Amino acid sequence: MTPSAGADWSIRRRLLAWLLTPLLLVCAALLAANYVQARHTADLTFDRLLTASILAIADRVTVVDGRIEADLPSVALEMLSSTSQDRVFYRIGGPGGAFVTGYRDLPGPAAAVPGRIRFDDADYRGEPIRVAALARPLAPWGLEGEVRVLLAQTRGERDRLTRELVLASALRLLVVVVLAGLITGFGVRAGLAPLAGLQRSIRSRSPTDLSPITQPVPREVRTLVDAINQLMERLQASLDAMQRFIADASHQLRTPLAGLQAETELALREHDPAALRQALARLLAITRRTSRLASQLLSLARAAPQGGAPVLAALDLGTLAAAVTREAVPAALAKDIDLGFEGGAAARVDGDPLLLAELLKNLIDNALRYCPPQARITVRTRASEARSATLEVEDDGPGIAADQRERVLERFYRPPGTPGEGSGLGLAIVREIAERHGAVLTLADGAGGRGLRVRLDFPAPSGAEPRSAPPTAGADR
Amino acid sequence: MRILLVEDDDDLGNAMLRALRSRDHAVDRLADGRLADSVLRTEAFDLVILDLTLPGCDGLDVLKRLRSRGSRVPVLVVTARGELEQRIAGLDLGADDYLVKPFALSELEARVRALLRRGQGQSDPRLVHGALVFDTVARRLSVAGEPVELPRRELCLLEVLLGRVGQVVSKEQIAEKLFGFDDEAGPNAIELYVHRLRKRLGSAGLNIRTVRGLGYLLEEP
Repeated sequence: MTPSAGADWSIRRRLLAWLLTPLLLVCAALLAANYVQARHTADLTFDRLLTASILAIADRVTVVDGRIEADLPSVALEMLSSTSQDRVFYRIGGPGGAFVTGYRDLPGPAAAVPGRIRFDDADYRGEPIRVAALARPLAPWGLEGEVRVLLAQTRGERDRLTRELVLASALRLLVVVVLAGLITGFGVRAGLAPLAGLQRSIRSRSPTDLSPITQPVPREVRTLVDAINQLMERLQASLDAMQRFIADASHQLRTPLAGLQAETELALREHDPAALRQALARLLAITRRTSRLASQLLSLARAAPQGGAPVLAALDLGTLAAAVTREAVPAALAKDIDLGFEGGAAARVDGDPLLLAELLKNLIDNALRYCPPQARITVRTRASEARSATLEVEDDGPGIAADQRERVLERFYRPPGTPGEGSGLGLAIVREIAERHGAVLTLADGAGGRGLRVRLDFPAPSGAEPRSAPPTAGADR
Repeated sequence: MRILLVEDDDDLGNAMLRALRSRDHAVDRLADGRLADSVLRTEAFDLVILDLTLPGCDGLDVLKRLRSRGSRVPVLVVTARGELEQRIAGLDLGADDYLVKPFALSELEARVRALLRRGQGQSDPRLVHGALVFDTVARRLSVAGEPVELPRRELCLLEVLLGRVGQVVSKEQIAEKLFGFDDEAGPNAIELYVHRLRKRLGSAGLNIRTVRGLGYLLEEP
């Protein structure tokens, strides 16, 4: 059972498996040991009877006229077979393997030490038997060699005793296993009960309830719950931000739409062609402003954290800035503004190219919007010693008063007396995108204390290598 | 010129239709992608203006099928902003130009003009810029009908600029066209040729702007 065993992986099952499998293994080992012990006990018991009988038989062996004779005592044999249906076999042999009486083919221990009884297990006539062997020297009768007595008994009674003993211990073990299983089951359930409680309380929450989980939880899941709480906090923050954004956006869109409606109604009342043309021109201006606002709201939504994680890739800020600036040149020429670019060595950053282009477009757009004709706007990129990159947009236009520089970064804020038809979103978009890239945004005076210089300091790219090394070197070598 | 306009929004579609017709183009408007696809199979147009979100069949599919049939008719894709960036950023789908909604009608007309001119490029080798006419095959230049002799590199530079009127052309792009691998292409060389061109043709309405740090831009006549 490994953690990767699939979706149906449960701590409960894992705990039960780890607790119950060893228990069952131990019980099985105990049972095996008990069986060996029980068989030994049964043999000890019945071997004593066998011993008494074989001694009795051996005592009755005599030598008459040089011939071995055995007067078998019936008592000795009855003693063995009376307790059960066990059958008894015997064999008496003389010196040199000569057969005297009994069962000629009864197997037995080969060479018995004289005077000592040996026991052995064997099979006879398809049944397992216990064989006792005893050898007596024939010296008292003046003969060479010895007489060998074999006495065998089937194992029926012994096996019955073994079974009884094993069964009794198996029953005891079974009780232990069942009890231990029940206790373990209850224990695991009780141990995991806080998790089930946690699950119930999370499941029963309303979808809008993102408050932290406050119920007491065991130390083992504390960190998990903390992580969930942090996630919910972030969710709540991003939901709040989204709510605010939707409220702001609908309010901001409604205003120019109201203007459009009013202007259109006025235009419809107009009969003088010249006045009508003027009204239509105003309509066009409001429409342009509205669609610009809509597209800026879209950028803001995309730049804001709730728009999903940005796709940060290594890119050259200089190349990107040059391309964006190039696209803005015709608009600058149309306003007779000198838009230029200064970029030196490669300025590498980890960034989302779409968002960064959006950021720069907004900065250039702002500069073009508020600078008078013949103004000079410069887009600048450079890389520092520490491989962090800087992007600057500098103009010699009206600038932003020092006490307004914080506030202009807020959404929809426009400094009092700002001309034109801006939405107050441009710099807010810039700030959002800068924050998403971990860049530091600074507003300052332009060169010579005139105009505005917007500066963005980007952190060094994560895969910071020496600047001369190709970015993908090493992987395919 | 025969133009097919595929746009499902009636307000926008009709406005575009009227604007283009007022410029004496023969315009057909369709509002369904599948219909546009089948019309494009059988009929020839000089230009297709294509919206991307269409009922019936996606605009991108219409474009892909058109190109897979080997058609080289110029296509102007007109689409909403986020959509353009999210769906086709960095992809070459065979569109000749993109226009992002909302747009000014004058912008639409300018793009249409440029695309129709480019479509004729194969048949008409002349680049016309005000009083300037440059024959790209004969490599001859005339101002107000009078032939003008120019050194080879200046002619080359003029051709590059005339090909991208109103856009910034970088020094690197110019150098690629002007100099071979073996030539010494000092950064000042291009400035010199631009300077000479301005001097020679400034009076003929050739206005080359220097764009700081980016290159040069030939202004519309």
